[in-house]
Amino acid sequence: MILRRCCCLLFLVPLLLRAGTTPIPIHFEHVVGERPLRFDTTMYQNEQHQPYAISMVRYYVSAIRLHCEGNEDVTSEKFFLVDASDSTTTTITLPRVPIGTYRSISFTIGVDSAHNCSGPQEGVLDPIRGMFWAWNTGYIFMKVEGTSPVSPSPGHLVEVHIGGFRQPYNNIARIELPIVEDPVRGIYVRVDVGAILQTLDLSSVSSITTPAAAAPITALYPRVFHIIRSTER
Amino acid sequence: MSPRILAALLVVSLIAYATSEENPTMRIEARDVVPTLPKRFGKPVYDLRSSRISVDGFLLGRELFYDQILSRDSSTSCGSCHQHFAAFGHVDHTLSHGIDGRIGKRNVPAIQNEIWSSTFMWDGGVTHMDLQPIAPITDTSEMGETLDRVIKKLSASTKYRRMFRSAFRTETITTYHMLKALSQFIALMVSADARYDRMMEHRDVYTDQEQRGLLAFRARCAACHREPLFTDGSYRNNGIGMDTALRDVGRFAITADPADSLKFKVPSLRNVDRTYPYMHDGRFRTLRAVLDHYGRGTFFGRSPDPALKSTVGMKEHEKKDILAFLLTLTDSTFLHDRRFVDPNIR
Repeated sequence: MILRRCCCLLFLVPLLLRAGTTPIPIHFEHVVGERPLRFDTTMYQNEQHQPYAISMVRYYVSAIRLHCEGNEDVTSEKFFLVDASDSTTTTITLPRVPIGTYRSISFTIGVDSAHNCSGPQEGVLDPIRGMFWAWNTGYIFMKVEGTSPVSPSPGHLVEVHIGGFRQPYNNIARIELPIVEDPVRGIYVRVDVGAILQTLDLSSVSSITTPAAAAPITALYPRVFHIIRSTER
Repeated sequence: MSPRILAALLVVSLIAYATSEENPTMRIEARDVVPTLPKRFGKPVYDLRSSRISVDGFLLGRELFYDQILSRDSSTSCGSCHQHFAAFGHVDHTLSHGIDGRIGKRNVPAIQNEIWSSTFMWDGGVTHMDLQPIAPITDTSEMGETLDRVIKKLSASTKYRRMFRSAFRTETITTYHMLKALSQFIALMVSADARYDRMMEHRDVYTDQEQRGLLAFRARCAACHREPLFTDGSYRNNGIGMDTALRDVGRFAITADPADSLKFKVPSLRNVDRTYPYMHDGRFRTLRAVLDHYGRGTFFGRSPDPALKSTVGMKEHEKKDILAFLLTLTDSTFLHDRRFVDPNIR
């Protein structure tokens, strides 16, 4: 009898532990400047007054880490492929986050060098996803494609493919954003796609598809990724 | 019955026998998929332990290698360009040929001893053997297909569903398993039984001329074409100058480092007699022309490789001896290995 009671208690232990955790969704909201991102039909303008439309925004998010005040950080080793046109991919949920005070979130835009170097991968890293350079082995960390009437490329295409994991063109980027809510229930990250095309002269640089060419673009990430304080939205 | 008719009947029945499904000489057994790993070659770069070769995996890889289904218009297979009798290079074409009669950018390289290589392609852009096939499959002037469509086509095929099931115990066909199967086929493409190898293992002896050729080769060429793989895997500007049509910058396109401009990977010289034409753009039709280039000492480009110094001033008799030596790198065992024969040729 006592033994049975002990067993019951043992079963309760994980439940008790889990009671102190909560799922935290991370929402990625895509905008161009102040306007929401709409594909293909909406024209935007960069600072050179060049009009453009966006047709694709995809990027890898990995190594997510919630930095905890006074407790252990929460980390995720998974890879996520966010596709701005697919709402099933724009929210990443960390399933069991201990309730606590978190001061910041950090994540990688890209794929670490180990996963670039160790042969074919599966799941969201399957090269079938089109986020892979076949001629210069490695993942495309971020793809922004669209059109601009000023682009000299066939079909007036504009393409920015950011990748490259080797020095001197290591474009694996770490983003860290502050969290101000306490307790945090959801994290809203605003992704300003416009910031990537904002300073480019699309009439001469309409195609960026090498690690070297993409390197200056990653420097713009602080203008691309912002946190929105909006759990009460 | 006359002896002539008897002989003809014998030949016909032999051919019928050789091409029948049950032909025991064409059957692949477990011992056939054990890779040859000569000690002299060192430890393979490719991890054979985590990517074990099975009979079913090898057979699937071979089927894929020779199947045009991998190309957009079902015209081109890996084997279309990579011909067994040419050490899986392509004789006579200066540049690769692809779908819709398109012409590619570079001379088809041989496929041999790839498990000892850490980079692939003339510019070394591909850094893992498993990932190499994606490049020709998706290149618009080679096989011009998307991985998405390849996997859809394979998944729609009863034959491939069965073969993937036997090889990987999987019901869903994925890029991962397709690439692993191709690697199981390619990993076995080991050339290690040329007369050179037998001489090194004291199973054969060189003629005087071949021996002189070996010594001249070691003095003149081996700085880059290092034995026993006959490449050191490095990238070098061999001084032939930029081609005028494609203006191929070589390794520079991968690294964006000006020092890499016009550098290409040193190709292995194994089976070199069978892989003409030569150089990344196939500009030389004969080995003689290659030796003439190196011997002449007129090198183009900003920074011809310093090692080229050793080739300058090659004497006529040295060239002849080196040519005789190069022929000893032809590996008939490899070129006639029954395991690599297109299974669908009847």
